[in-house]
Amino acid sequence: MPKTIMTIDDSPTIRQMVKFTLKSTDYQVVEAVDGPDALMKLSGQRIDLFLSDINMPGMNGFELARKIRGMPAFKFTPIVLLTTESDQAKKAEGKAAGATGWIVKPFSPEQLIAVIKRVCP
Amino acid sequence: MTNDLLAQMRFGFRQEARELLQELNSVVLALESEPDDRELLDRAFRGVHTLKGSGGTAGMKELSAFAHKLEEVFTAAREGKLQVNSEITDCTLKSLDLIEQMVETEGDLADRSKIEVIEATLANLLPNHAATTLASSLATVAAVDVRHLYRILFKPDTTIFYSGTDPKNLLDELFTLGECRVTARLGDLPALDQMDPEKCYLAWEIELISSLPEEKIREVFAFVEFERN
Repeated sequence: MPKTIMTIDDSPTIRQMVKFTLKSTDYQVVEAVDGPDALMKLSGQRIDLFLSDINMPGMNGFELARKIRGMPAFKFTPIVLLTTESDQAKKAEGKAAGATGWIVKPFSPEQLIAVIKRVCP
Repeated sequence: MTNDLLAQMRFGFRQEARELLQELNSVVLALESEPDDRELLDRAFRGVHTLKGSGGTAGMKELSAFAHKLEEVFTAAREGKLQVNSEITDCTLKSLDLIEQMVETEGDLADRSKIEVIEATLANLLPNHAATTLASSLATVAAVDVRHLYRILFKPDTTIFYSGTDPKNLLDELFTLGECRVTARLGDLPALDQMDPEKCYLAWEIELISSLPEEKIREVFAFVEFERN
């Protein structure tokens, strides 16, 4: 059964790129435009991995990661954050929020696939 | 959405491909009279390689697969396994025509038999396939020849599952990097009535023989190693 990945980003370009790349690698993709949209789309939905931007209006990626990690259904589900900075502080903040890993923007489709396959083969 | 993006990417690819094909045609014509010119050969290879990659990215799988066959010929020529001759340049020009048709029809070729005919011709140009594979794998061994033995102790935090990391995925990835042997350490396993099923009590000793450098091996643990720092 193909794995389902939720991509959360306010940029349609990033969502398109992620969706296009992942679909061509046989993942199913659910899109959300921000944190609240993601949480709304979660009920009853099976998600095998979350791929979320950090800087989003309303609820940032850390807050979203904390909320998702707190839900029993997603206690162990990988959460990968997209970050523009590669600094350790942001990564530590992500880890503390329950994130599994990160991808530094800009990234190529190959880098995206490599990270996704690592945490959700 | 996806279809829009794909349409945009194909549009972009068509522009790129037209330029590449124009360049490639003149390079191949020049190769006809200068078959030993290394720079021309490199340019031909790069052009075909780019067509393969960009075509694949634009979702044109058939074009990409076909360009790959053509690329193999130029790879062999660059490695000195194949001498560029008129047979090769002729077949390449035919291949470029076919790629152009694929580009203009967005891969919707009416006549697929043409592809098969040219692919067969390309395959015949290559030195014996089995011999190529063996020679190139020997060449790889000779080129790197430094195979490292890595001994790794992977002892994750007991709470690793709460970070969304499944240690098994990391072990599986190591198996793709070389010859790998894994032994589980059960020493920290508590008695059954003390055990929290959501915690990880295992550690793994790993012996990995790989030609990859250490940083590539460490990359597998990039997300978990961080927690320790």
